[in-house]
Amino acid sequence: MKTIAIEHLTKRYGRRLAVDDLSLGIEEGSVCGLLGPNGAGKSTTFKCLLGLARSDGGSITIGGEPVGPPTFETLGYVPERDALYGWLTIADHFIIARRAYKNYDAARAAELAATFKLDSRKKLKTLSKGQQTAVALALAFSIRPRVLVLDEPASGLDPVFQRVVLELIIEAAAGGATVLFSSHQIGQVERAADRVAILRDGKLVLDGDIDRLKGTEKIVEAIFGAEVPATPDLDADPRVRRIERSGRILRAYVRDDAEGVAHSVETLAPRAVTVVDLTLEDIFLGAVGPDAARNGHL
Amino acid sequence: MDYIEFLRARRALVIFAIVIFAIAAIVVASVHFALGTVSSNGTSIVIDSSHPHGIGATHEHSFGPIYLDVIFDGAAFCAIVFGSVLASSLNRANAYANFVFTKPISRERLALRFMSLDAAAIALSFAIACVVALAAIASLGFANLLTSGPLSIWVAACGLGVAFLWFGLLQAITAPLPGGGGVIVGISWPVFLGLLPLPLFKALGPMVTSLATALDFLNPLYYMPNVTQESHRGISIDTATGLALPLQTAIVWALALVACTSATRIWRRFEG
Repeated sequence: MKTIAIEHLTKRYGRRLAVDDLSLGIEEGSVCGLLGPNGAGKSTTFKCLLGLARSDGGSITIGGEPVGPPTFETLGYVPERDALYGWLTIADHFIIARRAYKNYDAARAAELAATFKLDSRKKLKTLSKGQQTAVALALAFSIRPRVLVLDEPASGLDPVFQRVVLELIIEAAAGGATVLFSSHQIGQVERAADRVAILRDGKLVLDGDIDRLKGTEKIVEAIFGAEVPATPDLDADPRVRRIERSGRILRAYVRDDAEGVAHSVETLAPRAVTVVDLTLEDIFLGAVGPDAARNGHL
Repeated sequence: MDYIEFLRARRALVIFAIVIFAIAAIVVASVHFALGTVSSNGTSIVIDSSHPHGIGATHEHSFGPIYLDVIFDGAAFCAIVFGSVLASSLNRANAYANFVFTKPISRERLALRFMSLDAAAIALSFAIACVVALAAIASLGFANLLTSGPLSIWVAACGLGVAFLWFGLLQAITAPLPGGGGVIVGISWPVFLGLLPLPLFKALGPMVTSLATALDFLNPLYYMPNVTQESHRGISIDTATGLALPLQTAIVWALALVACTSATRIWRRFEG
């Protein structure tokens, strides 16, 4: 059973389709990175997931149940934007959490506050964006959540605390928590997530296990002695998702049969041909970049 | 989550108490400094103006009793002012929807808790205003002139009901909005005050006056008992509705309840 199950989710704001028939399932203990350019529908997906916005179609369950007040007993959420009360102190926010959650762990909260070097007497409005994010993270993790929904959880944090956040995510998942988080920093997703879902214009354009995606997606790179020649056969090859030409270098983004494509490229008599593994960033850009339609993602 | 509203209501109540106390202190000091030593002989007020700051003579004014109705009416007005300060609590929470609505408590229960705390604070503001007014009267030596009328308790109940109705209406109006509750609260004062005498302006035409009359049924001030104390003739209490005060009180409380229930239902559908 999927801990987070989103089926055919659709959400409109007026005429604009913010989320378009999105289906996504995340299993217990899995960390899923939700990627997409600005306006892709990540935050709207989170809002629908948490009942903050009503969907126009589809269904969402967390732990097999429709989202309702009991869901939040074990769900930690860090929103993208400031959501905390500026006129309250950090300590006040911890009191609110203590009163709201049965599972609130005061010792864990204190430990997290110390980790993020938070002075509990300070009012939120006096804190930097990064410190406010740290407070939101400390609150989310202090309830020992079974599900974590984190919208840009490392936003505004310095590299040291970004690392701490990733460690917290990995630690929570190791303890059985299911994590869905978004980030514009693909390196963070690559480090913490075991799977990725990529949105573009409200649609899910790529979804899968990161290692599997990396295993099937390759770049065939060829260096020529002069300008890259015309490659009509390669352009029409269904195995090739995208071709980049830069001076004497040709890069073909290939799915599944990289060796076969490399042999085809060798017939063009390049000086050298190599097969390179894709990074998650390459996969992401292939899914949402300007050539995404050609890549078969749209 | 109600802890936030508790902190906010407490802070507002402390400021309110300080302001009310300051006003009462200024009034008492002014009476002493302007008139001299003021005292009561049980049936009338005696002003000894031989005091250095006085006007130089001793007067005896037959003032008659001081009805609690007047104090309750004034305290109700204070409670309305205070209630309007708290009246956009649901709207304020909307600005923190990501935090407020992701807690293990239903929005209905949350709204109920928010409004219950606000209502308790409004009732407390009414009590504070009464206590401060009574203390001021006592400090002037008029405590023995205080008396209650046959409708005193109804004046208090109706006045407090008006404060709750104002509060409930503003909650219902502002609950679906993502912000701007404070502006609507500010606008409510000229709207409700302006709407009250509008039906009397026949020159505006029957359409406008009829509309104003209809809207006045939702105007909290329309239900405010009109308490007038005259020095010798005692107290008179009028209602704009023409209904008996107990019946008007029941109506205003029922309307307040409907407004608060509506606010809860509207808030439940807010999208963050």
